[in-house]
Parts: sequence; structure tokens; C-alpha cells
Amino acid sequence: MELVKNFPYLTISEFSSAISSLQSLFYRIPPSPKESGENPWLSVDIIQEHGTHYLRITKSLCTHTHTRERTSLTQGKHDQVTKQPQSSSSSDREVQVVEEYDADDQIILDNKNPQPLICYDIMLSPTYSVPVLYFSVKDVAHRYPPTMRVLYDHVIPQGYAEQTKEGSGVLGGVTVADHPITNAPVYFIHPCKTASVLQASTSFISPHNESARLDHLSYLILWIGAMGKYVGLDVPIDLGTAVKREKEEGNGTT
Amino acid sequence: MSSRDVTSRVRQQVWNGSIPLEIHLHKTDCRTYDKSEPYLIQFPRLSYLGLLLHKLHAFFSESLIYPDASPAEAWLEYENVPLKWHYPLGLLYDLYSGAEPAQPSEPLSGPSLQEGDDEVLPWKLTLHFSEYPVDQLVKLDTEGKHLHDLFIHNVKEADYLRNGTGKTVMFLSKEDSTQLWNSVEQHDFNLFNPINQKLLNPQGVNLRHMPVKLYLPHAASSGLDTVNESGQESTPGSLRVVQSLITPALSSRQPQTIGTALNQIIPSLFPSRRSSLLAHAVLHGAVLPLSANVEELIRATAYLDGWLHIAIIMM
Repeated sequence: MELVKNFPYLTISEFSSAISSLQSLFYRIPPSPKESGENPWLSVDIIQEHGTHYLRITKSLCTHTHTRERTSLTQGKHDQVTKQPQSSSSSDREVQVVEEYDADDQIILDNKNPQPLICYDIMLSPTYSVPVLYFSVKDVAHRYPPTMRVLYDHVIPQGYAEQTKEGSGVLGGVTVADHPITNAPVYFIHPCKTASVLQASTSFISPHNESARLDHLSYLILWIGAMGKYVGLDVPIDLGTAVKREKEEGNGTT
Repeated sequence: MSSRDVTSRVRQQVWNGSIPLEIHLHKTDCRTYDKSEPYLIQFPRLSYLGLLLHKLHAFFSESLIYPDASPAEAWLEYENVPLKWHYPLGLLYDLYSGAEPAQPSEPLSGPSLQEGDDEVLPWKLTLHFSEYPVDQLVKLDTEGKHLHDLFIHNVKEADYLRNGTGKTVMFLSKEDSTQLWNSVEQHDFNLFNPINQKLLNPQGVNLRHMPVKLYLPHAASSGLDTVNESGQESTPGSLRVVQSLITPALSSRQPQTIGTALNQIIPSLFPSRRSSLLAHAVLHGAVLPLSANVEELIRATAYLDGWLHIAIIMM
């Protein structure tokens, strides 16, 4: 597995490799058991537009003011999406797994009150050379417009509100700004502190160990762990375990 | 005249650029249908319409059907295009007014009305206090915090691009940062210039990249070879904003020009580095000569947040 050359900064090709690894890993591992209590990732898509590409992770919007429903809405989740052509020989198998997963996932549509979705778009900032998180709620009934009030009432998990205000938390502050591709307002975590947050999180793991340098996928998992949890984006446990296992296997063979 | 004098003269001219606005309250928000008086103002090109929120609310409050409407409910529109509060007025005008931009060959003889401006000016905008297009426009708060946030984020990013670190902005004192925002709110060059000079000339740092954003109206971007895969219906006035790393020089002898930068970033619209064939790059109401040196433009003609916000207009 290739390592990130200039941690905590990422090049475009390292970013591409990281997001496609995450996507293929997601569709390789079996979905979380329903009783796990997790709000699982529903889909992981790579979206290509205007010569750039980025990762979209979709979840149900589950908040304290929202009754948790164990149904998922897959309708429309594949529009705007191009699947990355997989070059490896495992691609056929992966596609099959994807389809099986979709078929297994029983879709129960409540037409009157469909479950709103939250989309997390991970893009590489050309300025800061770190991934940046843009997120927004997709709701056919337009109940969750991109305002700060909706952010604190419905999106940010309880107890994390302070972390997301500029100057007080580890983040550069959550605000509403225009999405770089759609130019429509979405939530956005300013990336000005991301590099130092990533550096701090790895120094905890192993301050002096060269061999602990990160491969592309582990970098992305670390970044999601550092930036995502304050806004409801966690790494699912089985995905985290799978990354660790693959890394160990990778180390064993080299 | 030395190049320094030219820079400061151009800087001053850009600072003083302004556009007369005639703002009407939309009839559905008006107690007297279409009978309310318009709000007239000569507004700086570099400034943000978001700063007018309270003045507009105060001016029209008597005419509102719902006088309790908060200033944060207000939004402006030109020919069905909602105008982004956080774009500078000059950029909005260059993108949407339809006025012909000035050509480089025309003599630079002080402020003169361009051909076509007569029909456009004053620029007639419509103000709404209901049905905020929340999916298209960032909504402001009544204290102006959000507008300030968006401005500071742009300042930080421009600084990071120029220096490769965000340290210059981080190291501005609290007083300096406050002064910078006050200078924007009051459009006061004497407050703005000292802070801007600190940002543009940090000690011991070489210029790394140049803060340039290109704004392609839908008509221009749909002509590109990249297909809009989202299949989304484009909303009126939708834009594609393009940003790319631009170095100050191509080599030790060849500085980056507008032509070389555009040719690198959007070659399909600027196939030549020397002449505009399909589109114009417009800044502050004027067509940029493709031979213009980007670093000099940054120093003399950047917007208040340090960026060159360039409108790409199809020929």
C-alpha cells in the first residue's frame, strides 16, 4: 500500500486513490447488522463533474428531534453518480456485491413522509491540499434548508455544538457557503485547521514511529474520524475493522 | 510615472468604481402593490450588497405587507436571478447586467460611461421579503456575522495561496482584523490600505500562488467538453466557479499573464494565450488584456478579500 508522501497534505492522485479504496472497501464488506444501533452509511459514491471528482457518503438524517426509522431510502441515490471504472480483476465481483447489497436492502417508502438523507461530500481543496467536507440535507419536502438553525437543531449531534463554532473548537468552524461544484449553499467545515488537527491526531498514535506513516485509505479514515464526528459522520465500526485488517494483511505480505 | 505610481493610481480608480442602483420592492411584498418609491444609491463596485440589509429594511419597512419581516428575510434579484449577498457588486454587475464591458483599446480617460451602460444604468434590482430562495442563496443574519465569516474565509484562503501558509492572517492583531472589516463596512481606503499592504507584503515570503477565481455563466460552461452529469435543471443565473493553482511565473523569464493562466485553466474557451477568440475575461467592467501580468493585477486590482474575481463572458 502506498503511503502519503507529504503528510498531512494530500495530492490529487493520492486523494483519488484514497476515495476509490474507501468506495471499494465499503461495497466489499457486508452491511452492518440492523440491530447494531448504528446509523449506517447507505451509499458511497464517486461523483465526477467538471474534471474534478469527489466522494459522497449518504446516510439517513437521524437526529434527536427526529424519530429514528430503520428504513433506508435508496430512491435517487444513484443519480448524479458515475461509478469509477475499476481496473482490477475484482471489479466484476464488486459490482455484483453492490447489486446484492441493494437488493437485500429492503426499501420501504413512506410516500407521505420520506426519510431525509444527509450527503457528505468530501473534496480535495486545491488551496489547502487537504480534504474538505461539504454536507447538506436532501429532503423532498424541503424541511431542512441550509441554515445555521437547522444545523444545530437537526444535524450536529448533541454535545458537539461548541466544537463546531469558530475559535472554540478544533474545527475551523462550520458555516454555510456555496458548494464548489453546484454553487448552491451547503454546510462547510473550513479547512484552515485541518492540517494541524491531523498532525495532532497522529502524534497521539505514535510520535516517533516512521513505519506508522499512513497509506491513502488510512489517511482518509483518520480524516473522517477527526472532522466528521462533530457533524454526524462516523466511520462505521466494521469498516474501521476492515481497514485495520487489510493493513495488517498488507504489511504481512510485504 | 513609475510602476509603483501606476499601481497606486489604478488601485485608487478601482477603489472608487461604483454603480448607481435603483432598488424596487417586489409587488407581492408591498402594501401598495407597485406604488412604493425606489431606493436609490451609488454603491461601490468592490463592496457587498449584504451590507445594505439594514438600510433597505429601514427604507421599505413602511411599505411592507408584513412589517415584522426580519432584515434577514430580504433578498435581491435581477431578472429572476437571485444575487448572492457575498459576491462583490462589481462581479454581479459584470456577470448579469448585460452591459458591454469596456475594451482595452479605449482610452483611459477617467470615469466615462461605456456604450450600452445608458440602457442598463441605473441598475434596477428587485427586493423581496418573502420566499427566500434558500437553496440558491446563503441566508444572512441580522448582525452581519455570516457575511463577515464568508469574507474572512476568502481573505484566509487568498493569504494561504499567496504564501503557502495562513500565518499572515493568523498573525494580524485583533485590532488589524477589526480594522479590515470596518474598512469594508465603511468602504474607507485609509483604513483598508495599511492592512492590505501587510497582507500583500509579508516579510521573508515569496509569492507562491495567485488567488484567482473564474465565474462562468451557465451559457459559457455548457459549451465546455465536460458534461454536466448531474442532469440538474440549471437555475437562472447559475454559475460554475473555477479555481486552480496559478503560479506567478511560468519560468524565470516568463511571468504569468491572464492569457497563459486562462489557456491553462479553461483551454476550451481560451485556446490562444494571446487573443480572445470565444470569450472575454472581465474585471471591474473592463475586458482584461490577455497580456496583463497576473501578479500586477493582484496588487492593483484585487477585490477587498484579496481575490481577482473574473467574469468569463462569451463573445
